[in-house]
Amino acid sequence: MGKKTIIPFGPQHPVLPEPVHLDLVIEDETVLEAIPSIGFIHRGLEKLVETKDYTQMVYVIERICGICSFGHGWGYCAAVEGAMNVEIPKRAEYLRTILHELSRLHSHLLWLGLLADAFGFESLFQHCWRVRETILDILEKTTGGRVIFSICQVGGMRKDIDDKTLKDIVAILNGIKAEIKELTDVFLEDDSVKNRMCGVGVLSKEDAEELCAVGPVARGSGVVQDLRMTNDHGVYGELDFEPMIEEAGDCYARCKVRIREVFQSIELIEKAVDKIPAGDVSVEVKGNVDGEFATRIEQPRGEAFYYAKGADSKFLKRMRVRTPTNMNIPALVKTLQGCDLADVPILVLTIDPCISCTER
Amino acid sequence: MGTFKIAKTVVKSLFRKPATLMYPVVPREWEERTRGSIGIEVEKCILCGICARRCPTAAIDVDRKGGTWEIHRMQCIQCGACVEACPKDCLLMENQYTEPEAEKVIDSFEVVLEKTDTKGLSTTIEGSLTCDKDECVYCGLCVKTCPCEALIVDRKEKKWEVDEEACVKCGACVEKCPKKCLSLGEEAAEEATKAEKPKKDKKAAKADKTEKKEKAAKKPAAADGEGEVLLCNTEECIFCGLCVKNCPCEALVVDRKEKKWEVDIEACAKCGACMENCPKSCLSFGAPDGKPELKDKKPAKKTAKKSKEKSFPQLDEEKCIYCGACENACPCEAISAEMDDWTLDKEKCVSCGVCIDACPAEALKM
Repeated sequence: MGKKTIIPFGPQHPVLPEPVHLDLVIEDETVLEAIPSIGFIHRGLEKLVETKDYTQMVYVIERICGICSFGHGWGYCAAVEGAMNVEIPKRAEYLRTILHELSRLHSHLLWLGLLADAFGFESLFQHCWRVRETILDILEKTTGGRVIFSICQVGGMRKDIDDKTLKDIVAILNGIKAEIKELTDVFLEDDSVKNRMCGVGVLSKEDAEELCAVGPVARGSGVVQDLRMTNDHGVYGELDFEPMIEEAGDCYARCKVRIREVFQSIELIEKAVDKIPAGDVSVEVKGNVDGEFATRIEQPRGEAFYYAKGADSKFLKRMRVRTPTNMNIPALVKTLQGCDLADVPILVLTIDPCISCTER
Repeated sequence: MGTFKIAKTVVKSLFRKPATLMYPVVPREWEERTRGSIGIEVEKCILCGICARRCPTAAIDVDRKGGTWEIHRMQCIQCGACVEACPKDCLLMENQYTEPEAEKVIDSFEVVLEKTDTKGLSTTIEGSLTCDKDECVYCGLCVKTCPCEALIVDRKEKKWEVDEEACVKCGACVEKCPKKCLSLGEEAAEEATKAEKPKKDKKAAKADKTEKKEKAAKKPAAADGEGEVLLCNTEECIFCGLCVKNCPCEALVVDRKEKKWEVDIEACAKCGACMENCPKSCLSFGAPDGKPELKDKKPAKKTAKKSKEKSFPQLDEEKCIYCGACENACPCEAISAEMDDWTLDKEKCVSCGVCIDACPAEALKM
């Protein structure tokens, strides 16, 4: 038995896209314990709601995170709309759903690239991001921004996306399906990749439930949990949504869940485009926010929670965002116990950490 | 299962054009909706400052005195809120983002306010906003509409003031004024010439009024759609008619003899002018339902009975200090309080009791 050593991992580390710090207690090459700490990029965005009026705040909330930007905008708008008893037009719900799935696509492709980078597969990383670029182009064309869309507003959408563009989007997505398949096959079938992921960082179903894991982390451990099933938000109820579940609970299962979700998102967008009704995309919202409301959104990384409370003024009294990464850190700490030091980067990445989100 | 699974993709990419652009040699093609940077057409700008107020990151500074419009490029998040808010459409979202900079830059634009007539509204710096005080009812709607907080209205003191420096002559208040007593720049001059021919003026005024009524009828429905209407608690109401006098929209009808209080919901601008002056505080905004009419009749009878044994305020001359507070307070102008001479016009008096409340010497009682 060797001596116990503590290795600091992060907040700046080549493999980490965002600043999380882990104190790894190791013995030989094995991690005994991981102690996480966050707080490197806290920006106090929740406090800002007290000084910005609720319509302005959408643009700030969107900037909580660059990857799940749309989900944050939507969650905030949904919470404020709920507090004000505003019902948004059906077309706006459909557009939000479509854009949300597009963000999921680009988020998952980004994650696949980062994962490849984490186990040192640089060319796979670059190819994933090349394909992702197509989706960013779609997003730029429809919303005006590559990652920060600023298209959601309290009461609906700021801009409509015409039916022809929507059909084009589906055509483009079906066009890149083969390319995505080519890349995801590498993740799922290449031996060198599987050696790094299969059986690594197993999170049992019981642990996942006990540690309140959310999103692909929970689904990779066999927990049937996806807010899109509950039809809390968007129009998933009309799109025959089925959650993607894998039982194994290791890195490979989490990766597979996300890969299956990529193809599922393309299908969901196709169905939504077929069913989208004509009509307005926003309703006029007037007056002050009074009352409170909480809502949940299934983001690419899992369940996010939004709470808004008004005090009969233009300014919200309280705004709360609870992000999926926040919930997945306990699961991460659990999987890190007993793993190899060399696997730490992959394990950290398989929860798809978004520290900017978590710290708001 | 397999090895070299990526070989196919790698070989393909050997024969593919690069996925990246040779930027900046090959320029990027922007989409129509791309949000690059905020641009301004300075000749249209009236320095109203609405953009600065709408900006979620406080990236815009508008200096009216200095005549500059500034944008902090590093603070701007290209959300486009200012573009949407600009009343003159002088802000636009350009596709190309700004050049990379090594320092935090503030782009400053000089705006010269000259005659730039875009929407038929004069923005001459010489012309100013004027109020026809004979028409004005000091409802304060202009204050609520003003984007620049340039107006002060005090109903009690019958004061209407404009801060010339703050006013940007956007004309929002002129459009909103229910009495059409506001006028801007050249329009004011025109009206002055019109005033020489009073007959024409009256006709024009009448035509104006009908127009206004039509407008007023449409406006609130669009603006406040659902919700509240003006209600009168007729049990409390003394039908003094003060609300009618104060209503800028001529939306109220009060008949003292028939104990009738009616509001034309469509004409009512919900400014609240009537409420502030109501001696009995019987007016309120509330949900419209059938009840108020029913209420109307019953209490009307009650008050009718009361009115037979109508009591009037009586003066205790020993206590009276002849300060005139009662005269000022009386909504019906029924009291005159000269030195040592206090008279009550019983025809006018509605026994509302406002004078009794107002008396500092407690010299009045019913």
